[in-house]
Amino acid sequence: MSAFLKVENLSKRYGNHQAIDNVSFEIEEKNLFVLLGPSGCGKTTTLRCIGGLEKPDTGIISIKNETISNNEDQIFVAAEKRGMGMVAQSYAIWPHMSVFENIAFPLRMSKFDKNLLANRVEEALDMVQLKGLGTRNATDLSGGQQQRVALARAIVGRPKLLLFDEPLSNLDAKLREQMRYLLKEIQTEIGITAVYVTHDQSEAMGLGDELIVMNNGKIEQSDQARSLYNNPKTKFVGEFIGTANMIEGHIIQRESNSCKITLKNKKSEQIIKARLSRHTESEQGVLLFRPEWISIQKGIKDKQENSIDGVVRTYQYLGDRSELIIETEFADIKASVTDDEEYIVGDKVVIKINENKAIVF
Amino acid sequence: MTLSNQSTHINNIIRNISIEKSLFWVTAALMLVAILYPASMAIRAAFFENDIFTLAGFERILQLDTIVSDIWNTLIFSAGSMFGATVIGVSLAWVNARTDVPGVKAIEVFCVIPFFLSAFVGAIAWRLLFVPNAGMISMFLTKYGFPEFLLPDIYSLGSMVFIQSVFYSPFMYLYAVASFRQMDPTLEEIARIHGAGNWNTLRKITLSVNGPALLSGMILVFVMSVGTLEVPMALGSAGGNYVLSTRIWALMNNMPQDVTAASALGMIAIFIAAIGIIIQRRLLGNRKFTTVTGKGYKSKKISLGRWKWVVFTLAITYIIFAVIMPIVTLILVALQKFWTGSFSMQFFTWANFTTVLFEYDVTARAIKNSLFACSVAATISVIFALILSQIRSRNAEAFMGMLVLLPIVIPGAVFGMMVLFAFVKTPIYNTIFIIIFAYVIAYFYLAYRTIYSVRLSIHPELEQSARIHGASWFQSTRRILTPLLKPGIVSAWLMSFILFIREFSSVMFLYRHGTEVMPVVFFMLMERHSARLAAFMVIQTAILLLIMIIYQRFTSKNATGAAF
Repeated sequence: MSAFLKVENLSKRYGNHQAIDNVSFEIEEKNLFVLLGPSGCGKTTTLRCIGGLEKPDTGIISIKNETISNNEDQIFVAAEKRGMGMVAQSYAIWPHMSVFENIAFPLRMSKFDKNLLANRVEEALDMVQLKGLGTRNATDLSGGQQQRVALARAIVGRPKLLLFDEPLSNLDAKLREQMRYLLKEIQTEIGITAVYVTHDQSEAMGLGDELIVMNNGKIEQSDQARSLYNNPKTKFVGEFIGTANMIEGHIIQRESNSCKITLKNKKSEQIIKARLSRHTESEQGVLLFRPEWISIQKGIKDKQENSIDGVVRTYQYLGDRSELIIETEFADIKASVTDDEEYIVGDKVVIKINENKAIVF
Repeated sequence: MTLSNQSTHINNIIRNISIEKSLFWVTAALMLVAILYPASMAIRAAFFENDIFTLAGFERILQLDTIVSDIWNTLIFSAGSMFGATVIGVSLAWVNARTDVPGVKAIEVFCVIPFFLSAFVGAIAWRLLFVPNAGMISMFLTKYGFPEFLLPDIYSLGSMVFIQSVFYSPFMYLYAVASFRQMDPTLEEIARIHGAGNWNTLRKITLSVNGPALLSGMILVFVMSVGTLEVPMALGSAGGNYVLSTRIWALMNNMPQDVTAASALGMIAIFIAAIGIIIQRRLLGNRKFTTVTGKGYKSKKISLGRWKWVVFTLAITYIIFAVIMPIVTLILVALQKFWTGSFSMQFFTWANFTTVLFEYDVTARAIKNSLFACSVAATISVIFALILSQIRSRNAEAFMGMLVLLPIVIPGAVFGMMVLFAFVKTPIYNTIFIIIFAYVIAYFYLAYRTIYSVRLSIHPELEQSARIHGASWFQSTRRILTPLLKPGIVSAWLMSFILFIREFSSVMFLYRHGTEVMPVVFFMLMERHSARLAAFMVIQTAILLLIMIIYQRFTSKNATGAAF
């Protein structure tokens, strides 16, 4: 099966700033595809290029093998001719129209059968759980409701592709979560392909069938959520997704998939075994491990493999887990453990790092 | 601090607050009287003769054989100018705010100049260009075989509408440009994505979302056009195209004077303005669009592509018509011994300038009078605006919003007549203070809105903490508020001064021998001496441009909100 949306070698520059730098990816039909990254990484510009709101400098964009943007052949299908739907960060609800008219707009533009129009709009309202609010003035609604109207407006015309530009970032935390479930439900229910831009990694991981992490206009990694978390391919991804402990060191022994790294300071040194990321070639390395990729033992033990001694500096019991910050000779290490052990600040502990999970970059 | 000390301290604060409140309400009441008393005197003048109720004034105006054409001309002139100004102003605003037209900054500055020039000056300049047999352009064109009958008739109603549109379009421009800039561009982008092309996006989104602001601007231009004497006097009277305002003026100033009929006609003018306002309210309904702005994307300008230079040329054409040509014409005419329709070095002279500045006593006096009256009026406006923008309460602010808008709905010429009636039996009648009064009341909304908008941006806690730390109301106003409001004060003063200097319609009813201000002398010179008139206009324009430059320098440094 060939890809539904294909983006090849896309680049866009604003003055001296390279917003997108040679980006390529493909999206399968009916998938929700997330572009994730810090602000200014080029994710929104990429989305706007797909929507036709921005003209790329180079590159090809095609949907179902039909080219909609190709600089070499001077093809640039106008935004209004691409048959897409979009939900914007600012809701962009038209203040001079009722809720009904806002949602009906895409249908009216596509000369939709007038007799069926009202039904279609009601159906969309129902889907976003705003049944009966059609006659209301759009700006009288709350922020969460406005965002639902925006969603209904984006799906009412059954677009080929749905674009989301940080749609939930203006909502408060609780609403954001509710909307996340609603959004995913609707997207699967009507079986629509969607591109979703966000800087919120939990949102991205919760929603995305497939994710791209972008940084400085380039793609860092394209993968599923689980792989991004467990097998980050770059230091940036490891750090950006989830929480990470990072300690610099010296790589001393290389094998195909693993290595040993020496963590050093003035007083002592410690050798840690971990997986090796393929990208690294230099002697300098960074050891990366997540707070739950370690286990903790109380008291001073004999030197063990892959372990660091430390002292508990803070301890928080959170019910399902405990979070600690442990002071060691090399760095302060964040730990998250699910054992029911109680710690006291000042406790001496040994941290054992899981060699099958930790990664050296 | 002891307990009793503290309680007297709190009492002081409470007493101070009531001082602040009473000062507000006393000033507001004064303003209200200053508007309602002249209005009631005008109504009285329309319905009473020798203290007896009568409709004789209305009967007499109905017997005028010109009454139908006067009303018709007024409607055509005002509605035509409203649409013309809207087309020009809104297009320029859209181009400047939303597109990547080259030289935006320079175009922006020029777009508002025509307003400061005043339509009277503009109309006179255009008259000098197109007057039959002696106009600079008409002579030039006929000399090279351009058929005479194809030349535009500068005295026609069509020309009046055209020139009024050109010189009142900055009003629409200022309304529209502020509104366009505030609009979240995503509103347009989402429409594009959902299938709306350029035209549908412009019509269904851009213009509709900004509709309320545009309608407010339109109704203002309409009411101002109903009441203006500028273009109707400079062009209309000579061509026999009277409108209500010029007819009112004629009834008041020609012999025999008919005050009752003039007032009755004034009522009709107010009625026409009121219809305009009612239509606007109807169209507007209760819609007041609060634009929801996102915090994300910055406004992206529409790329005009190869249309860029076409649009640029159109903008420049407007600037040439509205700014360059009038000023150049006036300067050329002012430098001639007498005006023959074309400039020649043979008749070159500086004498017109020296005459109007130093020799001719009316012009010299008018400059002095204008500068005095406008400075005093601007200062009073600012002081009143400062007092009236103090109070932070819903009722007071709503009341002020209504109060400042009242004079705007009264057509300018009628307003002049009202003020005249209010003071005709008092000693103020023969002094320049009657003109100062008219200036302050007619344009008070401008000073008020400017200072009010700056005031809104100052958090009340800044003053409250001054009060808590022991400052009296007067002290906190002087030491905390006034310095913070300074940018607003300066721009309100300058802007008021500019508007006062160029005000024509109302002062035409209010001057006496000895209290002539500059626009009055324009009128006096109009039919007598084109070259001296031009020189005098150049002087006024120079003063205005100077103040405008100061204003722009000032506002660009202190980003204060526009008052329009």
